[in-house]
Amino acid sequence: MKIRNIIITALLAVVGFVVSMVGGMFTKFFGAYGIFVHVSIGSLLCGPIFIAMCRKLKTRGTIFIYYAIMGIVYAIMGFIPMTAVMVIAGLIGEILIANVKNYEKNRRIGISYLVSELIYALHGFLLLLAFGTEGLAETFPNLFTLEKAQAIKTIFFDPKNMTVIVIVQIVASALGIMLGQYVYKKFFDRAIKKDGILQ
Amino acid sequence: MEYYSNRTIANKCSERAFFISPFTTLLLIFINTFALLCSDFVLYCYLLGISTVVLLIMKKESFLRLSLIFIGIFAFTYYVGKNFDPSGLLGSILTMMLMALKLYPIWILASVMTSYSSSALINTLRRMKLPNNLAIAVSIFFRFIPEYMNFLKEINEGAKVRGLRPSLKRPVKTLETYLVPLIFKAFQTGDTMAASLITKGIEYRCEKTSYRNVSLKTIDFVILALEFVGIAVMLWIR
Repeated sequence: MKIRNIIITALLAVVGFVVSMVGGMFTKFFGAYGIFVHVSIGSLLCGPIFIAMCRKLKTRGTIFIYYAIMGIVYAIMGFIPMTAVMVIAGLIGEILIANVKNYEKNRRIGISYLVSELIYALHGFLLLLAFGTEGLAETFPNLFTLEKAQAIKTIFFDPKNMTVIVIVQIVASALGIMLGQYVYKKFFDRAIKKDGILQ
Repeated sequence: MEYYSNRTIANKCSERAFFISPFTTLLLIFINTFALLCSDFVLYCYLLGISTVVLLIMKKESFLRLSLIFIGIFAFTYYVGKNFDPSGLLGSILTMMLMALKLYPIWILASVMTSYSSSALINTLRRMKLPNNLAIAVSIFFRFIPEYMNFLKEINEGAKVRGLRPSLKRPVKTLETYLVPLIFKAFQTGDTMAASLITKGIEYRCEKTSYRNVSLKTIDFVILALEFVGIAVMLWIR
């Protein structure tokens, strides 16, 4: 991967991080229902960043580095187990792209984004699977009491709740991708044509 | 006008009397992450104290702002926890604030991380055997967080001048106003920076050296000793 692409990916990760933080603040207004839209607003807003990144850079490893940086930042903010989730999300996103030519195909980028963001959105569920309720309460005694961990388990292991979380996340990611395509066509595609006048 | 070579300037920056190595800050973040999760009130205050000392040494100018934010969050959680039933929206905000309070010592150190120069960070991450590409990406991330926060403010000012305000009624327009310049800026900065770094030979395959001296010094050992001994003593007493 070229140094230019790494730098741009890192800078876009900064933009994604700032936007996710702003989106995360809005989820608090959903109160108890916030768990259903925890990552969704960020996914909706970060769609344009992801599309612009993939379409403009067109290099293998871009998606993995984007998510890995987010993972490292989570670790530095004190959420170390999130690093594993983000690395997995990045790896699967990268695998789904499959070929460097697919970086130009919106549908393939969309699928990759959708799955990676779904893994990101289900981090609570994945951590619960990895640690178990008692493990969660033992590993993070000041964040989770056994009762709280069990309440979270009840939410995640209820098929209805899980369906709602997954549907909301998929819809938000799909909207994010559509928004991304719109923004890309309107601003970035035109810029490429302008740059290409001498070519 | 006094002339300084590059090496002199770099050494002036990194070899001043109280310069804490980025490695120490990263190690403190790592230790605090685990220590805070099983900390009681006394240990929490101790870790907060150490983080504040690091902040005062490395980023004095942020001390007042971060202290005021801490006091604000603490006052909010104390007042709401005592006087209201924490359920629904309020409960959700209270939980978020409590988590922010709990992780505040780590966030102080994360703020200190943004004060290091890119070259100091890259050098430290390379010494930690992180792959070169990832080291560059992570150091750039930290270097540019404050930059992009300021740029977001500039975009906001520019939008105000043009009579554009963020509106939930026109979400796409709002998104275009704020997000598109940020993406453009990322591509623009990336191109300029890549040209600069390639000119300096970052892609050349050889053992990399740095003007920035990030090796551990007495102050690093003192701070790490205080951290380890403090945690050990408090856990032992408990």
